[in-house]
Amino acid sequence: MPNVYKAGKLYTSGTNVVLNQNNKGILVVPDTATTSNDVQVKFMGDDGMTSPGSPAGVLVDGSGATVPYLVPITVHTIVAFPSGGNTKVVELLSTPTSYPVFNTGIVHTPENVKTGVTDNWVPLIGKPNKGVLISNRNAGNTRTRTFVLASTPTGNMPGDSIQISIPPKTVVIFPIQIYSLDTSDLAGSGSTAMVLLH
Amino acid sequence: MAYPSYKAKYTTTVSSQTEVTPVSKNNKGFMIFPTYLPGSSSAEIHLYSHPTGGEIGDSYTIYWSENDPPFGPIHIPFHVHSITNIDTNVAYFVELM
Repeated sequence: MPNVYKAGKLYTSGTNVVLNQNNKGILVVPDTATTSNDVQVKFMGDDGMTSPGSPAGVLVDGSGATVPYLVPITVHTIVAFPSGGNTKVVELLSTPTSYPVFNTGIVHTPENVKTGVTDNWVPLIGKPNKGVLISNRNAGNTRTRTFVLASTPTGNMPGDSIQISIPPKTVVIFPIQIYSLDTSDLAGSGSTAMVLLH
Repeated sequence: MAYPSYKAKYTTTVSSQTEVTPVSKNNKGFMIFPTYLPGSSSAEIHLYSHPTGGEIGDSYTIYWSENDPPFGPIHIPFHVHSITNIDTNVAYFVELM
């Protein structure tokens, strides 16, 4: 089976542009006419940081040539890419299925928690999941929700907590397993819905 | 099948240096990025000894020029002990991991 990249974003200029950190490199299509349309990049080093040793980055030749070429090194940042030329840089990604796909869990309506009729989130405690989708349909107010993460390394106990802000008319996916919801933090719950992902 | 993709361990900018020693003894090779500056360039690639790999082994010389399309990077996709006798205006040596 041949290697096939999926094309990410196409860049023609920019300064300090951070690429998709899962990129597999770039394809450079040089400008045949100009002689000064080169690209300065920083590659990905250890732990997601830029590669040490050359603070200004690496000059990738993008001018005066005719043949596109592949740079199979993960690019962290396009430091400088002058506008005005025809040089193209195509970000390369791995497979069409690289985006995470979830099965839908139970749809929870926190209004019930708030009124105390039914605590829908009680079964959540300690239950394996892949995170939560939060929708704020309110037109004007940002909502916050505090989640308790599973303890490390066992996941059997409540661990650290994290608070998320959801702007109006926005859907947010929090793709980390959560242990439970802090039910004291449900202001404006009537305008939000949460979907457990697993 | 795995994609041919690397991370960069260390980047060395060569302007007056004549030798590059890899930071990692387990490097996956090098890519050399020439600049558009005119002139022919060369460097001597030293491999590890065969079969033990513990000592410096055979070497060979590579060449590049601003007249060589596509002016692109030169890829050395295997374990490199060191690079010596570098004769170039400016180039970037990117150590792969």
